[in-house]
Amino acid sequence: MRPSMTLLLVIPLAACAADARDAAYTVADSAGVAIVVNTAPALAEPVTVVDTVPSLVIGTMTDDPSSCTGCAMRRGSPAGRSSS
Amino acid sequence: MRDATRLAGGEILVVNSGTAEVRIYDDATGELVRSFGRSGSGPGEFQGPDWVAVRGDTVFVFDPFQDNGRLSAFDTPGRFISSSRIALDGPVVFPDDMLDDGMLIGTRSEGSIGPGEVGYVKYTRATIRFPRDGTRVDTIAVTASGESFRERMGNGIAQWGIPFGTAPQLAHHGDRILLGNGDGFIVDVFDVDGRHLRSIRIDQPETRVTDAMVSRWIEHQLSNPFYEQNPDAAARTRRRLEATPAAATQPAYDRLIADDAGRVWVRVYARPWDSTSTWNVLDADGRWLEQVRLPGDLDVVEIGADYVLGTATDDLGVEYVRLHRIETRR
Repeated sequence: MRPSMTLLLVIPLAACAADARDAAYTVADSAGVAIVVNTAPALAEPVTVVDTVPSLVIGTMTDDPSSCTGCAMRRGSPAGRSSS
Repeated sequence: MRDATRLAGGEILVVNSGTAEVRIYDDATGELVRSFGRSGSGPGEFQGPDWVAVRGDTVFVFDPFQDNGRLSAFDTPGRFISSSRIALDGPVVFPDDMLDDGMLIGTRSEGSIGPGEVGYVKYTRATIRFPRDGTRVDTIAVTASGESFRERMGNGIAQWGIPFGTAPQLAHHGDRILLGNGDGFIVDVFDVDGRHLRSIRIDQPETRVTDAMVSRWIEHQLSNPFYEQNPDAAARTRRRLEATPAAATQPAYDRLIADDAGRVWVRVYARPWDSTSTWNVLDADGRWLEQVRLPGDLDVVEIGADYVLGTATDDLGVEYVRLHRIETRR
């Protein structure tokens, strides 16, 4: 269905004080639906970092409730293993 | 292990289908604090618990193997409260999750698009909302779903996913439902009443699928203990996969999660052998915020303000739960 009305706004992404990015996004209104288009994101220093080493590991597949003995053994094991 | 979530107090709740129970672990020590449920068909018992949702002080556990779908409610100490039989009219639809208002959300296949009943097919799906007694069904949206390959087998038809095929994605936060299938970097946002609010897109180049990628994909499908112990089955599956046409391009994404704050996490398509995964994080309005990397073997089930909860599989094929800390650098 062709959009009955298109309102195009170009809004530059507010640059983060710590790491300016070139990314921008546009919002076009198409028949009441906002079309939000982000340009190809520029890689920058991430604000959010997820620890690759798990803070907690829980094994659950055995019938033995004390399987957490195994959990303790696994705790702190390096994450990010290839699944192949 | 079927599902996991974090309780308000920080404890980790794990749905263990193998033992038909729900286990709750201390988030600091990993020690088992308590468990509830057991194998059986009586009140508070399970045959195959599938997913869990916590609303206030109530823990809801869905079991598709009882009563055509049974939703059981417990308090957080684990005392059974009640159960509901999910009995939708027409084709059986199992709920995928519970919305914040207690309504259930599920998907129903709406049909397929293809040259015939065998060969390549592409599906559409209806995302539906219904109450716990299944008396009324609202359709939120009908959208493109996944794709597969079908072949006649005996008196029936077998089907399997095509290499690098798209797959339906569903997430929700508050009254917003997020839908997509990775066919382009497009996430459509609806409200629970079916109003299409926005379509979020990221302009990024496509990745063409090469023969070498398909070969590696097939090898990865066959690299598991079952096929290693069943060479005949491995050979049959290999022949079948090698005869299946692959997608021309990789899906743009293959996971969609809304975190506790309503931010949208979209995983850039991760090939099965990738050791890390890259997630585009967008705000609730669809504005791109940043890219975050996660371990490639982590199957994420929940993202909170300062943690990522997921599962992984060890070298023996045993699933386990992992909690990773999020550090915010501002």
